[in-house]
Amino acid sequence: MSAVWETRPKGVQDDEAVNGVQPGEATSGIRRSETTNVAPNNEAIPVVRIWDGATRVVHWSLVVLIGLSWWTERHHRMDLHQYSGYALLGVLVFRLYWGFFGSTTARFAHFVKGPRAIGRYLRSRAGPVSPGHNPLGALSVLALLGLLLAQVVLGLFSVDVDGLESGPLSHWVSFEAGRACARLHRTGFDVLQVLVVCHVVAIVFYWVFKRDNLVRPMITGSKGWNHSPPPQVQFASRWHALLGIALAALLVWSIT
Amino acid sequence: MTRSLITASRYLRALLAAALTVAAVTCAGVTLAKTQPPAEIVKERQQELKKLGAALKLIRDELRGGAPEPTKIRAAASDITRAASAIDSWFPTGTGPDAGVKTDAKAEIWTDAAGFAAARETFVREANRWAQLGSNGDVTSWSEAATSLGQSCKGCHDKFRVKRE
Repeated sequence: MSAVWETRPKGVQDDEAVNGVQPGEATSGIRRSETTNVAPNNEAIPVVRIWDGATRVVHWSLVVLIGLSWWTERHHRMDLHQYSGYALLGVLVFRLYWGFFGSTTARFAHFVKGPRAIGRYLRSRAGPVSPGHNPLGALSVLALLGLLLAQVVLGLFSVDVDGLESGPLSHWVSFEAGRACARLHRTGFDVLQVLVVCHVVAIVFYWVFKRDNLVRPMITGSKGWNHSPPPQVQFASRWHALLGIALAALLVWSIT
Repeated sequence: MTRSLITASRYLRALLAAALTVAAVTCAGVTLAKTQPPAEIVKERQQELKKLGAALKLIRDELRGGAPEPTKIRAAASDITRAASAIDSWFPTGTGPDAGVKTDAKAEIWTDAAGFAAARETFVREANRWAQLGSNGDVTSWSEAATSLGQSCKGCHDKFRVKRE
């Protein structure tokens, strides 16, 4: 892997070239993102597309919205906190949908593996055999998505002690149940911080010790790939994405 | 002369000691008679505050739909005014964080007694408005009064209650 990353500066153009070569996300179908990089020194570095646009937008939206939710709570801007929660809910609903109907690397069936596969992955020193989340990272994805979803739902039912800024569904529950939701919402955020730290530490670990930059592909969508069978990633169409967005929007709208 | 003075002073001292003892015992007796265990006071206080929170929530939930039921508002209003008349007795000395009981009441309630009294009086004033509002009010006046009541809760909680959520 390291050989690939030592030539990174050239990779910048290469990724753009790859994206240029593959114009339509609109057509679904197996696209073997196998493009040979023609570097000036003639070193062939296959660069493949791993993450689709939707997955990347989801990822960075979560980063921004988690930050916004934290900031708005700290500064007592509960009106904005509520909107941030709605946005998070929409993004999460879309991500769940995308986990079943999205591109290969976004699908839960593709990356969620059993304990045996995780053990195998941990023992092997080679790079990833399949594109996208590795079997261990899959647990982190599930934990983060699950916890964020729990946080949003708890927030919806949370009751504020002064009856000024309760969640939009708090009228469904009693005062004490709503207070319990608020306390769990608080505890959930503590757990979330731990998970986020684990997530970032793992990324730094891959960067420093495995010479594998995970951040870049999450921005550009593409990644150097020098394993012999090039990964087969099927990218879902734009219409699939639009349907998911409509679904998420409908759900959020029905709550507000 | 000197001797009689000494005797007199002895008598006086004995008398004073006796008086002090009686006073101390009486005070202790009175205090003991009045004081429930802190745990019980804290528990009761928490139950009353939860009832108050539930009453305000009920009003807010009723108002949310835009068509509140006056009977429900009235019941909640009477809970609120009852709390206003009793809250004075909910925070006796010795029921704070040092009492060895789990409580979110901050020590400032007693160290800043004047500040606490002011915050409490604001609440009592807001709560007492519900005596009339319960029977004759409309959505607008209820909404307005619910918000200012909530703010009076917050005014006290921000300073005198440990935030756990």
